[in-house]
Amino acid sequence: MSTLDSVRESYQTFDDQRFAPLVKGVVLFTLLAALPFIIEIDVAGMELAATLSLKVLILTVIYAYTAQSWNIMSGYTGQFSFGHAAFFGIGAYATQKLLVDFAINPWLGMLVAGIIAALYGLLIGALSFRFNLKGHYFALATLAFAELLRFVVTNMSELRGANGYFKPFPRDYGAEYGLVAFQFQNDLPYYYVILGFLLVVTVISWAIKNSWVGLYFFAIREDERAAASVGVPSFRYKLIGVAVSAFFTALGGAYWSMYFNTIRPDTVFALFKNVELLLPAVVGGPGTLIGPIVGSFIVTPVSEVARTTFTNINGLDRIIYGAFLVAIVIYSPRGVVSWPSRARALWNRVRGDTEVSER
Amino acid sequence: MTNMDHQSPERDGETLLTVEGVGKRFSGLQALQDVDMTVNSGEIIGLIGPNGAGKTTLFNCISGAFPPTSGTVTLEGNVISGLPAHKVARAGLARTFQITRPLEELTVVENAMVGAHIHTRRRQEAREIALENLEFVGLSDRAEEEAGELTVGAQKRLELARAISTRPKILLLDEIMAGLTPQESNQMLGLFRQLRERGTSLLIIEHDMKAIMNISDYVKVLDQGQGIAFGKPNEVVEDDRVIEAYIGGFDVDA
Repeated sequence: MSTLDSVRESYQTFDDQRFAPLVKGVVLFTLLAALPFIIEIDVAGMELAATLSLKVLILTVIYAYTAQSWNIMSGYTGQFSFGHAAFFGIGAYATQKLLVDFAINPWLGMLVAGIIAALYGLLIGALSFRFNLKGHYFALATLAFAELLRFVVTNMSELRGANGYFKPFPRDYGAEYGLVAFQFQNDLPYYYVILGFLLVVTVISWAIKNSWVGLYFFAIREDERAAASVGVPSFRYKLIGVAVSAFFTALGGAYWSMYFNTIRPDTVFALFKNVELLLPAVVGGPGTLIGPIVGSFIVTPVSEVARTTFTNINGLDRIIYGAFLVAIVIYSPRGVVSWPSRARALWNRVRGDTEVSER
Repeated sequence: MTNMDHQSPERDGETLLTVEGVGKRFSGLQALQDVDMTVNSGEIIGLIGPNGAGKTTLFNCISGAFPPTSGTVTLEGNVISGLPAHKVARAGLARTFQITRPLEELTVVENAMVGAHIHTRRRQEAREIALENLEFVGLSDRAEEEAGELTVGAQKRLELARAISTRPKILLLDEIMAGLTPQESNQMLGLFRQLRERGTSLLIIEHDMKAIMNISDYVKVLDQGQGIAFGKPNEVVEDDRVIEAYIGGFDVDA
């Protein structure tokens, strides 16, 4: 027990250092970068890659990325969006539209897409916050705005209706396979691109959390009236949250459209996409930095492996999503990342009890 | 008769807050009607009245929680009525809430930092201001605890620390002593005096008559949404209308 205590104590000393977050981040992302190789390590004739393919890893990091983006708005400011598929879809569609119809490089198209999504987010935010929509009503409003786009896009021949876009070859826009074209001939570079995305959005989230903006966001989440009474302009900061979150979510959609071959309204704007994009953050711990990443590594592989293993059971992955959601909401609304401290509290209580009884 | 109203000749200091003809109507209910009052710099003013007299409504009109339906409120000559709460706070008026509103999942020091950020975007500077004020209210040893875990008494002090972290010119305190132990109340009164010495004006709603009569320079009495008296504490308690408002229409055998 004393070794455990000393380990905990030395960890605490490390944790109090200024550089602790940087070290943790470097360790985490190094680990993530090594994952494609770790899953191929042969342990007693079994390798993780047999069930956990690189494709699943990519999906996992995509949803970690989108959940981290969703978190900036919904986890930090507490305005629960159930309609982030709107931004994701805009990201995918704007990128492909610019790429296919105007031969605009996807890296540039992606930024345009992000700005369009941010503007759509500002529209949703301005309307709902002006009329003081909160909680479930706000969530439903965001869902309506997402569904609206799905119907509009499905019926717009300018966006190729229900058929959607087929990703062009790099030579169609004057590029070759590689980073510039945002297209690769195998999955490994794709993994590192989305990992880079995740790194960027995580660093930005960290910067927000450690500035007055983050504190204002959290104050709004906790109690808008109390925040306003000490000078927090909640309307403006909620809009900042939506815009930033929408922008980054759209980049996720852009990536999606460059990784998979086709996008259609019923894939990128799908009703269920709204859940997939945010669930890792809710499971991992809304409002935390590590929660969306941890959450995605719990939720996505399990549901993907279940989906591909039990192909005869249609919708099993969604049942799993549902089960996760219900369990987390009931038993651990602060998410998986709160478990260590809860366990420690429990441990202290148990130990405290024995100490008392020993007397 | 003590209805000398708000321009008593012997009051010191410059006029800081002016409430002029303020009324508030909630569909059908006239909660406030034609209320006038002023608070000068460095004054402690008590705002009293029976339940439902409109004290908290007046606070809400002044602090921008909602706009008054008539009349104006000015702070240092600038109209603040009709401004949203965050702008009123930035103009230099802070308040606490009758039912405490801690930012529960933030730490105690972060709560106060939210207030301090009104002056600075730098986190370290905000933290220093916040810690100073936690020290002032006696909460510095609990700075890293979650605000939701504080006792009511400590939450009241946190509300005060958060509000004064905005460095207000005037502070509106809504029953901040309700629910405190006599000892805690005494400490709170000590804080009020220190705040006044620093040049902050206070407008205080309180039910504890002894405390309010003890601390206030002047007392404003509201009844059924109207101002019925204004004066020094010892004058106000002898006012017939005040007595009637408090003990109603009963005939009291002396």
